[in-house]
Amino acid sequence: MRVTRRFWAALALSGFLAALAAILERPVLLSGSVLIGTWILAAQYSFLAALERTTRTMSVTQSPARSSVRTDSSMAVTLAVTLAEPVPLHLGIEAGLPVATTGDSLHVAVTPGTTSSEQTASVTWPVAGRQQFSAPQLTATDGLFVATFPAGDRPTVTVEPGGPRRVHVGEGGTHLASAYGEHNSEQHGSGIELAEIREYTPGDATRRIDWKATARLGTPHVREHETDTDQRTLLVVDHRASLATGPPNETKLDYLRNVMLATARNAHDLTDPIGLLGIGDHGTTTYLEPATALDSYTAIRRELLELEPSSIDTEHPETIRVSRPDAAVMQSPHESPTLRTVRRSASDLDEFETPSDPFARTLRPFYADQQPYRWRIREQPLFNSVRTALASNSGAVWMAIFTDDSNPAELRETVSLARQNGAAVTIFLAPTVLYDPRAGDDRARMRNRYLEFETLRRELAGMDRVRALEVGPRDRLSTVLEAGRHGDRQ
Amino acid sequence: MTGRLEPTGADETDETAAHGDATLEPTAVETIEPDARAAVVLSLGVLVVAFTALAGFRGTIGALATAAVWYAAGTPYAIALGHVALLALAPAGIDSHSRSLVVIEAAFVFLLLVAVPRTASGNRVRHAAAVIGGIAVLGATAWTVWLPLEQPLWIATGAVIAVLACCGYILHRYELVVVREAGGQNATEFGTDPSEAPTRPDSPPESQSEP
Repeated sequence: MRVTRRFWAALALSGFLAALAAILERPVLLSGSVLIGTWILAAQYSFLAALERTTRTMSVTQSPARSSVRTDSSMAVTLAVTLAEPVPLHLGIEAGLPVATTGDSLHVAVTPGTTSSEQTASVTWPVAGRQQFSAPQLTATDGLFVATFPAGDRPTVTVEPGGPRRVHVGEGGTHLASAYGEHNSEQHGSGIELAEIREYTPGDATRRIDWKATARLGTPHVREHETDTDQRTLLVVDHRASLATGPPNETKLDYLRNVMLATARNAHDLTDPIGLLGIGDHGTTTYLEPATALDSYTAIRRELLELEPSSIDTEHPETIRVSRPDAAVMQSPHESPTLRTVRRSASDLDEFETPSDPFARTLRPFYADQQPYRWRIREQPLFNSVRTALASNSGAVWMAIFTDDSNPAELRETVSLARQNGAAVTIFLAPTVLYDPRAGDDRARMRNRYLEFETLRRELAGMDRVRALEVGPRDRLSTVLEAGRHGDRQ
Repeated sequence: MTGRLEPTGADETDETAAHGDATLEPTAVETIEPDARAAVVLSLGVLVVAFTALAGFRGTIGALATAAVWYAAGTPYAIALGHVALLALAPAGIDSHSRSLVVIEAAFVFLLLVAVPRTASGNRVRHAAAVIGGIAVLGATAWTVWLPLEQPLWIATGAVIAVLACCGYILHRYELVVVREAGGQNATEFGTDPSEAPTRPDSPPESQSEP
């Protein structure tokens, strides 16, 4: 509880009379001091009684419009105060907005005689995480005393980071049931996992004879085990302009990136050698040989996190995010430039230097000359990049191709090439119909486009040792499937 | 001047009171209940009569000045001015005017009782009890130290100030322990809507990206 200047003035009056009484030795002045002191005490008591009544009958609520919000989006927050009966105090209530929010301050005032007040403000949530409100701060005063203390509820808002939320990976609208698992080598030999017990054939080592089975069955039998092998994994990542389709932070590439990271993590957990082949519009942007070292996995993860569409899709310029998003992983200045670092440097020049500035004029040609491409390829960069990579990887490779359905002919040729080189292929395809913001207007067209995609996916999945999966937002896929069912009924 | 019988000086906005909230513009505690006006006029009338009985026309002037100060600035200022006026009107001490002085003090006590602040609306009996209790405690302290204990008046004055400080602190503790506790019981952790229960902070976003 704090006091106001009026309180100090009254107390000073009482002290003045008391001092005067002591100096002049006049008890009548002391009685005046006693009366003013009594007035102060009675006022304090009445203030506290009114405050107690207020806290007992008051309800303060902070109501965010939703319990979940995306980063950098705004949401209305309402602060409401309700009193069961009018109170004789002036009340001010300041909302306890989380620290990591921006926007106007939110407060309401209740004057004597009124019983409710409410105010709504728009609040921006720039930081992801679980944000809990502080309790609203109630300030009550009668002019002499001021009390401030927390009162009311403390709701929580979950701020989710931008990017894909409900990623669908599956076949024909059915999501993939199997989770991560160790791969089947399909080869028998020495190992730990038992594959089968078969009859002994001449040439088998005697140490592999299963004596218990031999005694039980009457003829010599040997144990076969699964061979422990490493699966060389090559992530083929297409990040050409068509992969930029989709709303900001929810493009094809953003969804595929989730799957890429999960695949890389899975391979790393199984200590499989893992490599990366990045394909841009004009050639190969990245090539990392499959390797098991931790550094290799870290480098691949960084590359995947920094991956951006290699150029702007002129058909959908509004869907492209080529600004400089905060880098998840800082890159050393000594490392080779990536598409992102080159763009960022050029953007910095544009932002901080005028075109006529000598500094910018000197540096700009250097940035322009920086080549983010490892190998420039004029035609069919996916096909030619994969051919080059397979040429340098003679052994069996499991190839995970992340791309979309914008160039089916090239994709077919690439998969055929991989199969001819003995590679097992899994294709993660992003159907354009699930990302195109304009596709939702015409349901019949949307359905037809998805059927075209599904035809392509089935064709690819029908090849030997090829698996084709679709990757996309689950809610959009549900819409498409619903449109399909609606169309079938008609 | 307003048409209401209320101390106008008390209506001023106090910056200190509004600390922490710029929209808070408190009226003063002195703003009395509307139905207490008649009683206040009566108490001021008693003061005028008692002052007149004590010192004639000069007393009347002093009482009217006291009433004017009450109207302009509030009860504490009226009490202070009234007692300073008493000092001037009864220089010979309390013995020769004891009956008139008792009536004047009773009128001041009556003024304290009837000039009920708005914070005591609906709670007048307890406010009156607080006034009487305050007078009893502070007055008894002064009287005990001065007369039965035969201490000098300055010691009695110090004792009154000490007791006043103790009483104020006790009320402050009462606020911390009782009043805020009542407010804290109304506070809830996660709001009124059970459907808004928070998710676990470590729960991952929903995803099925398992190749």
